Parts: sequence; C-alpha cells; structure tokens
Amino acid sequence: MATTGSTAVECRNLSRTYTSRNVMGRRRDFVALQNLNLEIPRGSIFGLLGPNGAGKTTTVRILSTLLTPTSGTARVLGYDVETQAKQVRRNTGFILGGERGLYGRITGEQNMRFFAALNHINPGEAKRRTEQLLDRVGLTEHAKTAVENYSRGMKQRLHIARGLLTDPPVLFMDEPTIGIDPIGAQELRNYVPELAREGKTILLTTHYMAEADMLCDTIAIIDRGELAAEGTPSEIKRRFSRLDIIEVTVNRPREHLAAEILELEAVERVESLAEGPFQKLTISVRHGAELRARIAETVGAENIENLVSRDPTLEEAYISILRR
Amino acid sequence: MTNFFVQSYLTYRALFFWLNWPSYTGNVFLVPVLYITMLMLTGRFANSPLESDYYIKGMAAYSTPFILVWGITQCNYYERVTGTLAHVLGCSGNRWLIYWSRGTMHFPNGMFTVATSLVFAWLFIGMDFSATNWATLTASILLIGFSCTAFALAIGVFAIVIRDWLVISAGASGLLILFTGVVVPVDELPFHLNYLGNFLPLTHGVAAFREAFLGAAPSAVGNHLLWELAVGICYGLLGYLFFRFVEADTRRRGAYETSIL
Repeated sequence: MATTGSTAVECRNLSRTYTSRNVMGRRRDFVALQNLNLEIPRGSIFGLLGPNGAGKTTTVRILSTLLTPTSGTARVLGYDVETQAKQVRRNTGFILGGERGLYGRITGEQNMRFFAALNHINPGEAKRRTEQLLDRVGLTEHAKTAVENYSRGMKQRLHIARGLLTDPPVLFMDEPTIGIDPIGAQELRNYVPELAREGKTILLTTHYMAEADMLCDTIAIIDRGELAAEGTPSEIKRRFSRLDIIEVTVNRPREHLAAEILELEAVERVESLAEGPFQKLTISVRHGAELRARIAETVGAENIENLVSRDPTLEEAYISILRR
Repeated sequence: MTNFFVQSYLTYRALFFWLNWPSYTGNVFLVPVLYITMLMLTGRFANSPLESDYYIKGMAAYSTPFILVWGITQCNYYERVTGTLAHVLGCSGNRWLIYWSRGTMHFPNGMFTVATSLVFAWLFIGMDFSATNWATLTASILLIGFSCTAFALAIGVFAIVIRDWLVISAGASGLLILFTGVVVPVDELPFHLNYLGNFLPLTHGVAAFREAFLGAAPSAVGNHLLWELAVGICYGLLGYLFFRFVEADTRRRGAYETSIL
C-alpha cells in the first residue's frame, strides 16, 4: 500500500553486498552499501555525494528496481522497490549518465517512440510527448538523426528526455552532467530546478560540488557505503568543515609569501594564484584559530589590497568529511 | 497492439546488425542458395539423384531457422552490450510483449529466405513442383517459422546471459542441421538420437514440408504439423519463463552491465 505522506523516497538500513567467485570458486564479497538511512521529502532536490565506489550508483539502481538490496528496505512513494517493483517503475524515471543505454542505429525520435511504446503510452500521446520533450531538451533539430551521430551532450539530453517520458513524479539522475562541456552542463543544470518547480522529487548523484551546492535542497555524503553526513548545503559547510578560509589579495606579489604563511601555526594549506598584477592567497586555517592579524603582519599591511574571511565551500567541507 | 508492433519494428531496426544491403542480401538470399548448391553437388558427386533431392528440400527448409536463430540471438546480445537492457527491464512494460516483440520482425525473414531457396531450386536446379500440395507446403513453412522463432527467442536468452551470440547461434544451427532430418534422415541417426529430434523445432515441420512435394494433403500430415506447433508453443513458454528467471537473477546479482555467469 502506497503512502500519501510527505516522504517520496525512504531507505531503512539499506545494504547491498556484491558477491563474485574466482575461477577456483572462492567467494569474494564487496560491501557497496551498509545500513543506509535516507528520507527524501516530496518535491525536493536531494543530492547524493561521495567518492567513486561510495555506493551512489548502487543506491540509484536499487531505487530504480534494477538491483535488489541484500538487506533493509527502500520505498518510493510508499511502494517497496523489491516487492512492488512494477508500481515503483510506473512512478519513477531514471537517467543514467554516459554514452550507453540508447539505440544508436535509430533516431532520437525513434528512441523516444520505442520507450513510449514500452511504457504503454498510446501512439498519439507518445508523438505529442516526444515532440514536447525533444523541444525542451533542445533536440528538435536533431530528432531525425541517428543517435550514433549525436555528441555526448546530445545523448545526455536524450537520456533526460527519455527519463521524463512517463512524466514520473520521482526522478533519479545518476551523474547527469558527467563528461559534458560546460555550456551543455549548465543547460542541464537549468532543467533540474524547473523539474522541481513542477513538483517532481529528484535524487541527483554528482561529483561536482558546485552543482550540488547550487541545485540541492538537501545533501547526503556517503563513503564506503555508509552515510557520512546529511543536511542542507549550508549546514554541511558549517557543521562539517574543520577549516576556516581567509582570502588575501596582495598588490606586491612575493615569491616565498605562500611558504612564509604556511609556517604560521594553525595554517593547514595555502594556495597562491596570480590574478593580473595581484597575487591571490587562499589560506585554510584550523577552525576557530584567529589568524587575520598575524597574516596581515606577515604579508605587510601596505601590501594588502583586500583581506576577507569566508565560509568554506561545499568542496572543502566534503574533503574534510572524507579525510576524517 | 500498435505499441507491440512499434516495439517490434524499432528493436529490429536498432539491434539487427544485418540490416544493411550487403549483410541482408548475403544472409537472407545468398547463404541458403550456396548451402543448397553445395549439398546438391555433394549428392550428385555421390551419384545419387534421390539424395540430392533430399538435401535440396532439407536445406530449403533449414534456411528458415538459420536466419531466425542468427538474427534473434544477435539482437538479444546487442541489447545487453549496448546497455539498453537495463532501460528496457527498468520500465513497467509487459514482459510477455517485450519477449515476443524481439522475434516478430524476424519471422518474415524466415519466409523470404525459404521462398528464395525454393525459387532458386525451381529455376536453376529443376526442382519438380508438379505434384505439390500448396496448402500443406504453406502450413509447414509457417509452422517451421513459428517454432523456429520460439526456439530462437529461447536460446536468445542465453546470448543475454553469456554475452556472446556466435557460439549460441553456431551451436543451435549445428544441433538443427544434425538432428532434425534436414540432411540425415531422423530414422537413420545412431544411438536413439532420433528421439532428440522430437524435441527440436523443424523435425516434424520438415517431414510435412517433404510430403507436400509429393502431394500430401494437410490432413495426411496433420500429426507432423500439430507436433511442430506443440514444439513451438513449448519453446515459447519455456523461453519466456527462462527470460523471467534471468531478469530476476540479474536484478538479484546487479549484473545488467557485468557478467551474469
């Protein structure tokens, strides 16, 4: 029985272990996901972050019914992904990143018509939705071109159009911008909030922290199959970063300035970047250490064009979490 | 029903890699003609016109499973290696229709190739059609087409499992050419291997096919025709059950993109 509550996706102690055997028949287990607990509210954009092999794709695959969990439960709109897979499939769309998963020898339009037929959409409606979605992702001009001639970005846009074909209330997007040029990636990023405004719940996995920071209402970071942190991007940045960031713009660059600052106590890292006639230093200092005065003294007050403290970025928080 | 044919047509266009003129004409028209010619010459070399006639008819009938088995298994294989299988099985589509849609558009190829073989045999080898009962001939060809489509779909699931279609197609073709009475009469097979033929498509269909040239009415070969139909239905059901088992097992193992075995 599906729930009508405010939760779209719910994972309880979700675990997945892959088992393989070598030629001698010896069993080898790989734990991809371990007791993952997640709750995604309806209509929100939820980011799932983590390094390669952390369990992001495994989670998406379980929720898309392509994989069964070893233990624990996962529900989408109240339907159990294992025992009510058909209902889950009717209510979800999934977009897997990459070049594969499309029929290269037929056109983009035919790909859409095929998947519409597969999902029991009547031919008239399929034609209407195909035209509408190809237009939405900017592929109308290439609708009658064989997909094997598409660029990677065009294929990715077709993946998105296909994922939206059944107008699903829940959408799983696994690294949708991977390998796409910056303009194409920006266009794709623009679709995501649009979809959320239409009331769709979106689970997005990505390696791009700026993308997650910009798009997601809530973020979960998983590492080695376990949940390492969860919260809004601001909460994650504040709660989990063990560093504060001080940025200094120097109007008389010095060759060894970065090394001199690095020697100060509580300074963890210094990045130096030339910006025209200026030198920009990004200094990571241990959380709570008050170093602005000592840095100003080291640089020389007369050499400072600008000195500001800022919150760490999501990427800096992410690195802190994974290095704990 | 329209959606079923849309699926059938588009998967055929997308996954049948012989769908270009050199490959299509070569495999649908040229290969059966070459097989017939080879066995006709073998029969004549053995100085036995009767054997030659037996081979020609057998190979004309055999051209149908050849194109069906090699065509359908390659489509299943490419479905897996191009990564579309996960998208097909991740949708809520009716599995029974998905399964059968993979064979529908191949069926006409089986008909084209047997027609080509017979026309070739008539025009260039002087095959005698004067006594032919056309109703029996048509029924036997259609039933061979049906049973071999069902058989090809069933073994096509193995192509998904092992990610190889050549070994599956070659093995199945070998099985059919050896044990169905195409070249060697089933009754003359050693070690009770004649029983094996009863469980393969083509065996009873080709027996009715041969009788058609002697003027047998459909009622006279009714048992052969019914047996061929029954074999086709059995492969259809068993293949579908196997397909559902592979789907469930693939989900359990998470092996849509990795090796199932």
